[in-house]
Amino acid sequence: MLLFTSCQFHSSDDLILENNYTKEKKGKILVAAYACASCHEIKDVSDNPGMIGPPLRDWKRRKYIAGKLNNNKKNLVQWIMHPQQLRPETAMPDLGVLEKEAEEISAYLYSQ
Amino acid sequence: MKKKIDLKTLFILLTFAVIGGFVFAFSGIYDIAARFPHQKQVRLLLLATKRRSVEFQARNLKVPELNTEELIKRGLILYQMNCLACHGAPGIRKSRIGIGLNPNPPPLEKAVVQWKTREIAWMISNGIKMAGMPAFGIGKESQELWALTAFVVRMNTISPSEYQQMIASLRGEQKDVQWQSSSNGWGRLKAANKEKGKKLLTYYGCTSCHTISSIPGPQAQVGPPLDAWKHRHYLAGKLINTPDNLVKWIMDPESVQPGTAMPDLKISEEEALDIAKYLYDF
Repeated sequence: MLLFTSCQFHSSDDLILENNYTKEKKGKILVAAYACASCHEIKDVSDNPGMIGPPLRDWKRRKYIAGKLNNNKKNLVQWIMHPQQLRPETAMPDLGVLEKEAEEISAYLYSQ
Repeated sequence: MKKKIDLKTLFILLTFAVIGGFVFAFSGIYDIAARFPHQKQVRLLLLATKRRSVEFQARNLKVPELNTEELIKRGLILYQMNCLACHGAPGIRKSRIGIGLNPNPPPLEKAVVQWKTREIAWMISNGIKMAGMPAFGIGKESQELWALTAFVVRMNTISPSEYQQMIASLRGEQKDVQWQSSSNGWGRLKAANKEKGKKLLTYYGCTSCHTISSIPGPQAQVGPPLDAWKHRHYLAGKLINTPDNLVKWIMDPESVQPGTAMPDLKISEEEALDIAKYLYDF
């Protein structure tokens, strides 16, 4: 049973090349790979939400990012890429996320 | 008679399962790519296995006094050399080595909340199989495992700016760094009134921006939700979530985080303590 549930029928090449995954789906994979969910509660990714950062559930309804920026796609992408510039002293680290990746991550956050 | 048939069927089924397992393993159909997360059932099983194993294996470990300046200071040096690359630190990114690992090396800020101190020491010393966590119980670090443990425990109450101060202090650029952990103001909540705090949260209109599920309101998402507040690690994204800091933040948010959307509502210290007591469910 375990063996069958752990089976993942996707090809690794798909993600390196441009593929037919939706932005949201790529974003969800990146959220897991960058370990966003080890600090933030994020739907379908966190098993053991750390509550180190604020919970991101219902994110599309949230008004502010980092307590001061309007919550829109442009600001969220900037925040994911450069939190330390936008809010010096913030606990959120710069992880070196690419702009394209940040757009995909934000697409997933707005979709959840 | 019937029992015999059941055993035979069982045996045949088991044989098929074993053969099936081998075929599965050797076929290459399983995608071992670290980039894709495990399926949820697998993740939960692995997490449960780890938790039970560490709890059981570490059950007899005796922990010495760890809240001393000497151990914590030494622990920070060891942490910088051995842990930072994969786990990061308050406000500091992990290096490229720690990104894209599966399982993700967890942030250690809340390690002491999630594990007992002896379990943390056990994991540092023994490592974790198939998880990328090395065993520091061999090599020269093995002499200083309690210092490392002491720092990981202390990290629970170190903010990003305090971490920077500690680093500066090691370089001799800063004095008066508080190495040991302190009370953080939990005692101040004793005399506060929780019920009054609940009423004040409505009176000051906190729920018109924050969702607090135990208080009826518009389920607003202007500020972050405050449910399960006592489990949250940071406040305003940069201070450790302690009663001292929370009271300061409620009374004068601008002094903590210039430019914040959170308004100054002229809340008195007594009222802020009542509100804090309710939010922490103290």
